[in-house]
Amino acid sequence: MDVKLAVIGAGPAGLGAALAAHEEGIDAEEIHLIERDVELGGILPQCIHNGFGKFNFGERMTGPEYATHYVEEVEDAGINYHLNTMALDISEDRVITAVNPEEGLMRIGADAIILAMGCRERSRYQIRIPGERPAGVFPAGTVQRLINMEGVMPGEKAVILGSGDVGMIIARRLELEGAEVEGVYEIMSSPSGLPRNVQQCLRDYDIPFHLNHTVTEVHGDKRLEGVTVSEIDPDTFEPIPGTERYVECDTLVLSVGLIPENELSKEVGISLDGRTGGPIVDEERETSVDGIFGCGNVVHVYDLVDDVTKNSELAGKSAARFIQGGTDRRVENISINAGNNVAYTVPQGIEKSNEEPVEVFFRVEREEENVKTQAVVSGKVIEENAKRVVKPPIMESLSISRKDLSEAEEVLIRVFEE
Amino acid sequence: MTEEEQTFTCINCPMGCTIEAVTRDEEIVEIEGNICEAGEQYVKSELKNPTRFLTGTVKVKNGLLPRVPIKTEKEIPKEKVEEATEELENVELEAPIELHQTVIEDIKGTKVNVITTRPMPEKE
Amino acid sequence: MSGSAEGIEEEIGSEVPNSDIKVRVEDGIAYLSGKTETWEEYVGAGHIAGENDDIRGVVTDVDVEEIEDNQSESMERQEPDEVIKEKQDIVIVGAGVSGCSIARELSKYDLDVTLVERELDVSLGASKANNGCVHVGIDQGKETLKHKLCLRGNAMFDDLTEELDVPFRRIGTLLTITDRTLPEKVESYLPSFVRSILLKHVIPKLVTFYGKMKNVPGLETLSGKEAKELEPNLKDDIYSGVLMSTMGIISPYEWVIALAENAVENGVELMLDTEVIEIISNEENEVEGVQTDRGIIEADYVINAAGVYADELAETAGAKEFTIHPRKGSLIIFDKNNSDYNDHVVSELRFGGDEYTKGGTAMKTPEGNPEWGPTAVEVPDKEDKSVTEEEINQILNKYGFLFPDFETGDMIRYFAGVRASTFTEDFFIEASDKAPGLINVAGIQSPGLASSPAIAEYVVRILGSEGLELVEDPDFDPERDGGPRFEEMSEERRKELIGEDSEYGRIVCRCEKVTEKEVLEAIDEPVPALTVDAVKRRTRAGMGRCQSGFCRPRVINIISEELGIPIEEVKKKKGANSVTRRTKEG
Repeated sequence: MDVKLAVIGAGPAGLGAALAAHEEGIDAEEIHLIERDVELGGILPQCIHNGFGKFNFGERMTGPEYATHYVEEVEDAGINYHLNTMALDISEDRVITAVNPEEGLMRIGADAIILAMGCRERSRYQIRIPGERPAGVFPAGTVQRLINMEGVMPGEKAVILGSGDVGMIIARRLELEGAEVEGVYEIMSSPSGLPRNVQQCLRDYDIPFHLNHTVTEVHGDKRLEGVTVSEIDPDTFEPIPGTERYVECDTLVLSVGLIPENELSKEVGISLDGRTGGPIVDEERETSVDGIFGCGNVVHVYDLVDDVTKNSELAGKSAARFIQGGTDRRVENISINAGNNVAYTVPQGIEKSNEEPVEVFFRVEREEENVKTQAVVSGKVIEENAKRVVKPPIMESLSISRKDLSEAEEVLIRVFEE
Repeated sequence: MTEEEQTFTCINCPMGCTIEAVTRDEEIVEIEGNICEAGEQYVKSELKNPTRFLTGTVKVKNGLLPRVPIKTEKEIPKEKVEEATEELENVELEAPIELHQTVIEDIKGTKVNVITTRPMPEKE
Repeated sequence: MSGSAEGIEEEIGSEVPNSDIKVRVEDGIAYLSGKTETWEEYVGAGHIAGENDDIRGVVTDVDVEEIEDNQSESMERQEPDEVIKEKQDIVIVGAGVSGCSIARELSKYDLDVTLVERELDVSLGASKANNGCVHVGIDQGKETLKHKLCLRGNAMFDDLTEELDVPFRRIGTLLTITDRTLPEKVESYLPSFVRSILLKHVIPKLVTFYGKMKNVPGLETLSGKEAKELEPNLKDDIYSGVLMSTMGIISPYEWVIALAENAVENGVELMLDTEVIEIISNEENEVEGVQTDRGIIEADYVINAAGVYADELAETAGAKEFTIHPRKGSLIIFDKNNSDYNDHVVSELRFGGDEYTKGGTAMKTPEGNPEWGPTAVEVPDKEDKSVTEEEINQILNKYGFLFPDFETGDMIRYFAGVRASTFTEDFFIEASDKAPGLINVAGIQSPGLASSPAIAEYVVRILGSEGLELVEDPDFDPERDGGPRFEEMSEERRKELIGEDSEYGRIVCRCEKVTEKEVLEAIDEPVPALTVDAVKRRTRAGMGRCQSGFCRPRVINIISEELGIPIEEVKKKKGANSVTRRTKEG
């Protein structure tokens, strides 16, 4: 089949992008959402906690409510969607091969494609935890799905490695369900997730939180019997001899990082950013392949769904304009670079010549207080924000106006300390 | 008059401001660290009557999925969270279920209702 | 050195400090008793006895001071009196590569055969935890049994894998000669031109000659330049190489599952989750069957293919002629992204160093995942399958040296298996004189996989000479259908399949593109998948980059539905449920 717009992934990014494209003038029948799960919503249905939509809806919604809002809009608009459908392949001329039980193997040729596949979790092997391979070791997202959607528990006594938001939220969930969380262990010197989760998930439940620690061995042949935890040297990340402690447990929950789901992106030959693991995108969220756009966690991992929605609306609008032939093709070549204490930026470059301001999202590498975040062109600060504190878990942004960019070849985003 | 210095992490928004407050008999005397009003409100309520949202799931019969997520419509007293969770254990809803359907009224005497946070269609 | 007890005792005394070992030799078996301080010394003493040409087996009863003996912590096991299988001709203990190969071979004859396995699936010992190399036969001593059987077995794989529908490729192996080939001691006094001639010309030719003397086919000497042309990603300064074209790669557990399935389809009875506790014999010590934890199986012959526990099983029949010393091997698997990195199995020639721990390769699986290893670590615990950080680093250094540009960060999994090594380091396949009717098939470590078809033939011949009547079964069907593999199919074939059965249209494992139908079929096969891990071995669901992060809940649900058991009873493997209970709320 041939369609105008195909969106791969119907989580908040895909839903937002599809709706925005529709609002920009693409007919609902010409928009197809491709979703591998049994329903729309992506990861949100299993995120039953509140904290969503604070900025977009002025209230503290839960994940399922946030999803329901957008799912209902998609259904009301009459946008097409294919459930239980796995996209297997994308070709450079934008033909998607996908499969589901009802429609079988399909080839969907699209005028534009939006990638919104989200991200996946790092496994125990990717962080090289030595030891045996018993049952009872799970990534946090899998535990979340098992508890919140399947109604089953992974175990009774858990150790959580990693203080990402998912890990902390799961710690609370496990305690509420009658399991014991022996502790949360974080290899860095500060929490990876949001401070409010440290408060409402760990402190509220008296769950011990150990920074500068990691799991150095897994024990148990059939079922997990325990783990060895050690303190690490914050400069080398090596375990400090003599600090090992055996912790008896039957569940090890891993919250050790999310990686953009980049299988399809790699297959179609899109250029990836080594720092984010996701595609390099320009200010319209277009990737290095014409007509293929990316938004949401597949580009880089967000903390707030509100930001995902914002970015997805931008991608949807851009894809619509591409389909309508309205965008200027790649005429500029302004790279956006990461300067002092900036890990990466999204977008990584500006390629179109329209007049709209460009909002650049970025993360810092380390926590700093009383600084300015700045955008610098040819040595001149064109935009800055005073910040009382910046930290890696909280994404920052700066809005750059086009008039500051004439003749520019590079924009440097940096953290400046007085 | 006992003056106490306490530290709070505000949970209202992702900033998670670390707020330092000097209190005298549970009244705020000095406060710093919050970047907005909500932070001060939060500290006030933590001192007098700490509250939390409760979220969880309840069992579903005949639905597309075996559980449906729920929340309390408003924050409830923090000390009631555990017994409120226990009361959820006895609930079984039958599909189809609507968004924001009332699951339990006035849970544990808090005057707050428990509602669903999504619709749940019937199993095909 | 002669195989006299005094000679061996003296040698141990002088080579193994802090030991106090007494040796007795009877009928070619050396019996060691006494004590050593460390496990390493214990193994050293055993090897000294075992290396002796006149010794065919080493049995030890040695106290090792540093090891707390908790191996005898056996669990309470039932030993029901009930006869659960009457009058079998043969009972095979252990459904690893040996047991299943023998079962399949025996299924060609008109015999009542039962294959007994204590785990919930076949192939769960070392048979699943090796890298699947079907070796060429050059590494083993010419006079060893393992050498003869390896040569013979390797040659049989093309036909057999076609019959049994198991992917197999003879990609060949390239043995490289490098800066690390000569031992440092030798290096230090060699003039550089001599060293160069040795490394570039003499050594590869010697290896080739040596191989040919051992009847290894398909050997070719290569210059450094030729080696680099064959494998461009190799480091630059390879001096020379030897290409051995009969090396093959296969999925080791897929091979065992296929053998077991064909055996079962041809009438062999497979009993899983059944542990053999001891061999039952009459007053003349003739074998009458086995006592399992479910009851008694009567049989005229018992094949002891019990892996690391083969010595303990033989002991129950008073026929212990070997002691197993477990040697762990760890392997690392990398992302399929790098499937084109090397075309052949690649290894490095190293002289000097420990004979038993030098091996290993940088190979790739038939599915395209690069796999490096194994290590070789002597461990006292037969169940020690932990992968240590040292082992991971050792592997990365060893093969990273050959392939300096390889993305070692793309590691997706590591695991270990335990070799059932005897002290002679050779296979021990013999009809027991001490327990007539018992055939020991023990000490099957590398090249056990390559040898497996030949081991089976050899054992059947032994059975024949022990009086078993071998009447061919005219209904024997050698062909087994492995079932469709969606991931490998062409688009037309995929369309066809989905048209026939829509369950081929639902993908359960995103990383490996495994369909729901394949998972259902795995649960339904003649050797059924009853656990999450068994499903994984048959379908590859869970073997990809995310290591079952996405598919685990789905596979658990499918197993629960198909087997009609509640989710909380679905096992990941024997003794470990995947999830523990329902959540409190309901």
